[in-house]
Amino acid sequence: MKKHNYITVLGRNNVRMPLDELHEYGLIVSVCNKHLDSQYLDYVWTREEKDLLWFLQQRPSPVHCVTTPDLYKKYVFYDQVHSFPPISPQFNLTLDVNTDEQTLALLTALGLTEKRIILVGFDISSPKVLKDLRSVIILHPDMKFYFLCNPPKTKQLDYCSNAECILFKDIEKLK
Amino acid sequence: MMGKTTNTNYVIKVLWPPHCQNRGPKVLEERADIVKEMNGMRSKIENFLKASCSGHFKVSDEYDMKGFNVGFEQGPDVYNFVLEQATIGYEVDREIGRYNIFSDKYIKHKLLYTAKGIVIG
Repeated sequence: MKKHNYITVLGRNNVRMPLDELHEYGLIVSVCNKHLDSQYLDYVWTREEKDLLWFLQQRPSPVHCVTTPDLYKKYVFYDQVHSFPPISPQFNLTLDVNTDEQTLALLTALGLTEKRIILVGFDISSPKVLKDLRSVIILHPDMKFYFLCNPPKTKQLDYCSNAECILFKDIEKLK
Repeated sequence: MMGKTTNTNYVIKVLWPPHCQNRGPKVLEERADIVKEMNGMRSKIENFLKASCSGHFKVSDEYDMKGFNVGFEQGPDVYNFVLEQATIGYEVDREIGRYNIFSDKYIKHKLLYTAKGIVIG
């Protein structure tokens, strides 16, 4: 599969931009959020079977879902259901049932893009999420990460040279 | 395993009849009857696929001592193909290759036949 240049990851917080506008900045990968307009979602990370089925039943077309190995075993014959490949030991993350779904959505995006990831509505109030986000950023020095937020800009990613905090009002410069 | 070709998301191997398996090229040169049977089986499968698949499929013509690969675009076609083994008279390998969008490779999984349907192990 040809990798995409740009991908946007939607986190758990409210997304303050219309998805159709956001889609102009690249494919959209999201955590499981049924309130979003599914026609603009390209991939969703889902952990629960009922959520997986919900996204597969969306019309006009099902949303591609990335899910757990257990659910993948059952839904392997569904073309829109995907799973991570076995994770390389050099990858410094432990994925388990406690891994935050935002981190998993971010890993989904990492597997599909090669240049830039925009994080929108990404909730970094949890120390574990923030630690995982920093690990991912540091482990991928060739990828550029943009963290979108409202003022004030977060300082949490300041020491990551390949990450930058951008205000929503300035998103145009990422076009 | 065949490389990713356009629209091939699943690969499954159809086994030759037992007496046709593990025959080297030299034996096959001498046994035209076996070659005829193998070619006949390939044609039969291809005809069945033409009639039953709603998506794209590809029957591999690469020689393999165990069987031949069939690539499918759509999961429901694969599922149906595995289900119809006994009806049509063929046997598929207990392994399936599914294209992984992240690694850009086919990952092999063991097929499991359960009371609730076919899954992977």
